[in-house]
Amino acid sequence: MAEIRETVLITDASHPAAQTIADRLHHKHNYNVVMNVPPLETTDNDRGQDGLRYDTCSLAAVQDMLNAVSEGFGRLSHVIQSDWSIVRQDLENITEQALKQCLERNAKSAFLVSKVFGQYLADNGGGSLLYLSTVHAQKPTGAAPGYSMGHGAVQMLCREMALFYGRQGVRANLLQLDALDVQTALLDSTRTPFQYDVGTKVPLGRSSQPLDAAGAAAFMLSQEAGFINGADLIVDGGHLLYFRDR
Amino acid sequence: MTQVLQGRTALVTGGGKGVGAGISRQLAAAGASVVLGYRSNPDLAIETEAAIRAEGGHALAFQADVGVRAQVDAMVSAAVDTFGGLDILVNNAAWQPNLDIDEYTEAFYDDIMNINLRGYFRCMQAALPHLKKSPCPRIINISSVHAKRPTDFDVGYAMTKGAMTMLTREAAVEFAPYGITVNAVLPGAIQIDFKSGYTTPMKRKPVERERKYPFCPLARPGQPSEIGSLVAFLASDGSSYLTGSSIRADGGAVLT
Repeated sequence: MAEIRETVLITDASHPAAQTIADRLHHKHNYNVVMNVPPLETTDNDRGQDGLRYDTCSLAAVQDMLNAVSEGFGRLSHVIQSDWSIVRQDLENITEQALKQCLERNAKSAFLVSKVFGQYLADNGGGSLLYLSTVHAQKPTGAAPGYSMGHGAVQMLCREMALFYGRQGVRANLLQLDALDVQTALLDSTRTPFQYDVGTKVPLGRSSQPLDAAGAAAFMLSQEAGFINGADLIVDGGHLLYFRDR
Repeated sequence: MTQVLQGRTALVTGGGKGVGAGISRQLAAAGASVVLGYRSNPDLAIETEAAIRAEGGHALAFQADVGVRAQVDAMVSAAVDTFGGLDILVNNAAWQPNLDIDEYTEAFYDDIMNINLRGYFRCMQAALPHLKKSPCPRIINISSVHAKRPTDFDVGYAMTKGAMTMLTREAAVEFAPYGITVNAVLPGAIQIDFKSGYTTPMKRKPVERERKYPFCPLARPGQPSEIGSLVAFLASDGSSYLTGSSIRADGGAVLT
């Protein structure tokens, strides 16, 4: 009997963990992985394996993306929502337009992807939604309030989806990842010491790596996580427990 | 009530009705001069203004849509021009369409974000230059228990409240050097007068149970004055070491 491979969509290939997650899901767990590159992004991760370039902040574009994925790749089982944007502007000085755009990339994209793909999964035998979020959904950045506000919204979106789509066989969960790669520099702040000298603050003694996110994502998509719904899985090596230097 | 806010000026958005009216009246009872911002229901705002004045307080009802920056600026200017400064900003104006995600249009989503979230940001930014001059500056964001627990009836509303938690924490960190404290109040079910179409009705009727308010250990809804009392405390000198906090006022409902 031919093996049925599940298909996963990753909505924003520019996320610093996206490619590692895709590689791990494909090579180690045998998923088909489809990646989207939102057209406003300029990214080295634009591998173009499937050519998806849809604006996840537009309902019409997200609906077009669903049509393209379902026509090109068959039944979809999981969606990893990975859109992100860090704008380094404090509350006193950020313009309304800049804050709006930042919130849209971080939160509206998640809302629209949930609305369109959540219903698709519910209508097609179930599956799961997984949000790649951040520890800054609970820890202020001191540098990029639009980012943390957006992910505070995504945290509640996940919980609402866990209720609404959970009844229809679709799980919704969230990974709170520590800052990765380029994100660390973007979140550097003189107002909070959280993101500097990370090695001394994380109990496990190292910074977060994309493979940490990939392992957690693979688990959350698997049958082993079949009763996990509406959860925030914190993948930070204990960084959030930091209170003061020893 | 002790006049712990004597000589201070407070701006309460959505301060003319419902929870906002309870907040306005408690702040005035504590001695603050209060500007009641309202968007759409002048009768209730003027009624609240008159009630405060009848009790010897100082109040000004001012029409402004927190979704429009120019109107927010005008409201803040009115507070400063009328009462000589601004010490306390209470962000309270919000709405909820009560829609599941399959019913939410993109326009609804954009609207609720503009009012419930960016409206709070807009008022903070407009008030900031004046709060910097205050000896005891306070920002108090009225959020909801749905910043923690999902609503199961309005995804957009819960998203704005989740985001507001982080807006409060970011502002607490950023504005601390100015001596401004920023906190959030998370009301649970509050008994308000729906006579003016305060909000859209609950779409799903709660299951009938023998015990009223079975989800709440105190077995009753809160009163607007009880939210107002908490806000008055947060506005006072007694709360000076509290910042970035989210304080539930829900009768323990989230615990059940």
